[in-house]
Amino acid sequence: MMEALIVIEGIVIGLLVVLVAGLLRSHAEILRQLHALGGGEHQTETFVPPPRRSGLGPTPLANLSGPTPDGGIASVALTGSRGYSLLAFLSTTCTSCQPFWQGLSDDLNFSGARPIVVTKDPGEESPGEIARMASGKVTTLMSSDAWDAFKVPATPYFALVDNANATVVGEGSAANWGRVGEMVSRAISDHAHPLHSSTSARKADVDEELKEAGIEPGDQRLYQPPVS
Amino acid sequence: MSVLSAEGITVSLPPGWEGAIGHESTLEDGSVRNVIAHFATFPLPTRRGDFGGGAVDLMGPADAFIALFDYGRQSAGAALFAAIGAPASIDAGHFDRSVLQKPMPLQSAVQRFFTAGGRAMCLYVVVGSHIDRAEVLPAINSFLASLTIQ
Repeated sequence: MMEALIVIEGIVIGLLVVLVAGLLRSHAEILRQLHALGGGEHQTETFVPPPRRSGLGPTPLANLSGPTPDGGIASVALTGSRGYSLLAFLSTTCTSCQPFWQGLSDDLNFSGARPIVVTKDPGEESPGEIARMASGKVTTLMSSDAWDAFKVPATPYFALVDNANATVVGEGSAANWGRVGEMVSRAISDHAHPLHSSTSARKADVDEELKEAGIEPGDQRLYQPPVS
Repeated sequence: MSVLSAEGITVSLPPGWEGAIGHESTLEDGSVRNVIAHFATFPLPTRRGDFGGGAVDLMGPADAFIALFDYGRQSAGAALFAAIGAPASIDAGHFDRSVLQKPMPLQSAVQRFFTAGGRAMCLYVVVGSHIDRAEVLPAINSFLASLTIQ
């Protein structure tokens, strides 16, 4: 009789262990999902990668071309033009992209930069959903080539292009349009600042000035103490 | 150069130009939305009138705006569209301030009606500065030389 009770108790304990393990796993999954959605006390820090600005290099595309939600086709110049283009790489299935789609009808202001929503090609996206979610206020293009060219790592993702200088001056992610606006404002401000030049660019400027003065690399005058 | 092609219209965009070719569609009231294409040397706003309203307001002195309006096959060959083929080039002397659909200071425009590819078409070209139009004219003519309509 005692042995039977011990066996039953063992079975019950085993079931409880399985139950607790299942609950812990479920809890961990919920936390993971909340984390991915940007919830929690550190949502901004965990969800928003820091923007990388300055020295991001030349624009990988001269023109951004693709179908539009209304069935047309469009091409936007990213070089040889003027102003800034803010490329917003969005997906219709990405949960974190929903606030951006919903905010397209608002009066968005990005320090004069023109926002352009870029989705993947019709073969990889839902043209119907894009037509439903797009706004007549913001240009929307479907171009997987642009995603490849800008090496979009995840959605939502944003790239700020200086059209006149054909340069990507900022890129990164954010949780909402307001945060994107702050990033754009800061990137444009930094880009316009005289100290934004990279060390290599400043060295190149110095080399050029020295060359114009007739001082080539190895010139002995470079190794003389400064004249007081 | 970037080639833009849709709705039987194909064109090579000079560097820095952008464009949009609309899709012919039937609206809920049964009316047909004609094919309209816009091209410009400057960033085109998302919302534009058929002949550039909302866009020409943003033009600088060195800018050009081009609209192509398809009046449909039923009007092809009519007196207004008797000219055959899209103009291959435009002269500076063709620009006229009175042609502007929306009168804007400094600007002037050219409007041409023709039949191409069995379609009745209108070409409307605006320059940001009538006085300095010769500067942007080579790019406009490069654009026109590449334009095909089928």
